[in-house]
Amino acid sequence: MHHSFIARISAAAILLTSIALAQSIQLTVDLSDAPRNIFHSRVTIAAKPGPLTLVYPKWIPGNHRPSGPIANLAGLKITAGGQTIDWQRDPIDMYAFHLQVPAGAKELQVSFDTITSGESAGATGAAASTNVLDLNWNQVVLYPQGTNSDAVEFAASVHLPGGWKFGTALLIKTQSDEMVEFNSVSLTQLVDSPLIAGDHYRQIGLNQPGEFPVHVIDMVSESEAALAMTPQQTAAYHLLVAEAGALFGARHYTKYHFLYTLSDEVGHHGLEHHESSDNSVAERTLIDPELRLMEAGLLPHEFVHSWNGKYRRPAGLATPSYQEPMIGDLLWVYEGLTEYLGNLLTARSKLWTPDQYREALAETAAVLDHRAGRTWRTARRYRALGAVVAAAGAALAKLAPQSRLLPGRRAYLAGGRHSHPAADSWAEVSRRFLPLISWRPKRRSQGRSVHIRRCC
Amino acid sequence: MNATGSHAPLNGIEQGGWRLVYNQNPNALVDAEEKQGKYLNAFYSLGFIVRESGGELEDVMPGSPAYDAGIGPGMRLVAVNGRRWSKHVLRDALRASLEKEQRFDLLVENAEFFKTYSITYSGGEKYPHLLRAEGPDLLSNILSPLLK
Repeated sequence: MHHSFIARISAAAILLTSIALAQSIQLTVDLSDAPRNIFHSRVTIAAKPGPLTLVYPKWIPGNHRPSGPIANLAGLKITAGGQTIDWQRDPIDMYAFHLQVPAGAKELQVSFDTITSGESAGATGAAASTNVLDLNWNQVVLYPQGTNSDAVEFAASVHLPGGWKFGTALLIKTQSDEMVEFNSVSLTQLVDSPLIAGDHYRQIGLNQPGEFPVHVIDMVSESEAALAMTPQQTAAYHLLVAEAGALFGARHYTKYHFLYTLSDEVGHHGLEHHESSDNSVAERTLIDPELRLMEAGLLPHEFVHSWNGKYRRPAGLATPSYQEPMIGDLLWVYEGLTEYLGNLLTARSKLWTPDQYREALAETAAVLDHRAGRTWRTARRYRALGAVVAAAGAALAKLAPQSRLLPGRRAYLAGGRHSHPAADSWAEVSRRFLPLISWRPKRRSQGRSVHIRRCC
Repeated sequence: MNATGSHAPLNGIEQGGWRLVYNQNPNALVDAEEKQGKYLNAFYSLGFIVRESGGELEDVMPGSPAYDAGIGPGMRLVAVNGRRWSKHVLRDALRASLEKEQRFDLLVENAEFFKTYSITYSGGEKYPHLLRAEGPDLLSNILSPLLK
């Protein structure tokens, strides 16, 4: 298993080589209707006369399943030079729209709305509320079928609700009032760079002065009171960044944003990205000791994913675009090792005391020791569950720490809250390879961090 | 990883100098989750998780006393030993079972139909903890910060 894993990582690394960006698409997302959960997209795509198929992202990184919320797309209108163009949805692939670009047309104007009150790519619940929003770009784009997501460049901009502030790993090109224009990036990087915004916003720096790359926590919430991170927590997140650097020995990103939404009104999830993570928890998580204890491991887990899962990605998940199925048989490494290292960092950074870590590990061990699913399916085969549940059209089965499987059937299906089925196996691995798994780096980084676009 | 079995591989914890035990003391994480999630976790004793609101049995562990008695997920707990169920009523009965074996008559609603399931159980409330065992404490060693 270990050998084939390394071989697949090498295969994935070859895919990372940069590809010349062939096409540029302009995307403007009007978020001013966020409080009623409607995002308005306008997309300008260069086109040649003849048949064209536009697609909506289906297989979403970090979800590892066909979770692109196609049912949320509404109001699709396509024009060229002021002329309305008829389109037809593919009779089999609900994510594909066929059309004919008329003679003489050089570009298409595409507009549509995304209704974000229901499931929004990975989280049950709304993407926005009266005071906050979470923009996952895969929900607001269309792109030509057959396009490699590395090979298409997006010039994206947003129109925010009045007075709202935002956080994202994207770099700002221009900003005036509520309009923000970002530097062009590949579709891969755009989808990998979510944006959160809100009426109540606070940013906390996590570096020593003059230290790079820069790490920040961008927080938005339903209330000003919910942003009151204690000095102890702030110190612990400083330690998280420093301890992760010591653990891995090198950093591969140019900056890192922990995006942190505190709200009871939107879906709760943690979604990993290369230069950021998109985390959403209960409103009072920073100020309520119980919630703080429960969520302490979330940011460390998603942070570790930047190394394990993004910078290095299982080959089966490194698909050329969002329309190709992902093969997730290495998810036990992707999630299990991340959970092990994330919880380790939670303790090392003092977000948990050693005693709290042991209570959490005891709970995980107990949950996994009481899983009848283990009697009929191996941990490696657990991955199939995501596809099974998706196929059944059932609710969320994301393999994340706070995820929930089908209510009432968790015990038999095997997984469940706080239970990456591989996490206990990693405890076993750690016994065998303690010197290795404690990840004390043999050599320090050369002080150079490399940002690889693809891998995200 | 490649084998099925009835138990999780817990050797890593044991060879790290600790072992998994269950006792009546609350687990800090389980306790916080119970309170925030508004449910009672009797998974390691009777074998179910029950929601405060409506008594919905969210999950029932195959092979547990509740499962063997015939109770399944999606049913609703109505009463314990003739009294309307609440966290306190169920907890008190579980605590009593630490001293001596208790009979639990659980009145359960399954859609439109009601049935009493009888369970005999001893052992009290059960929550998981790690207890220091023999050998060097490698787990604490792993948890030590790398930076001083």
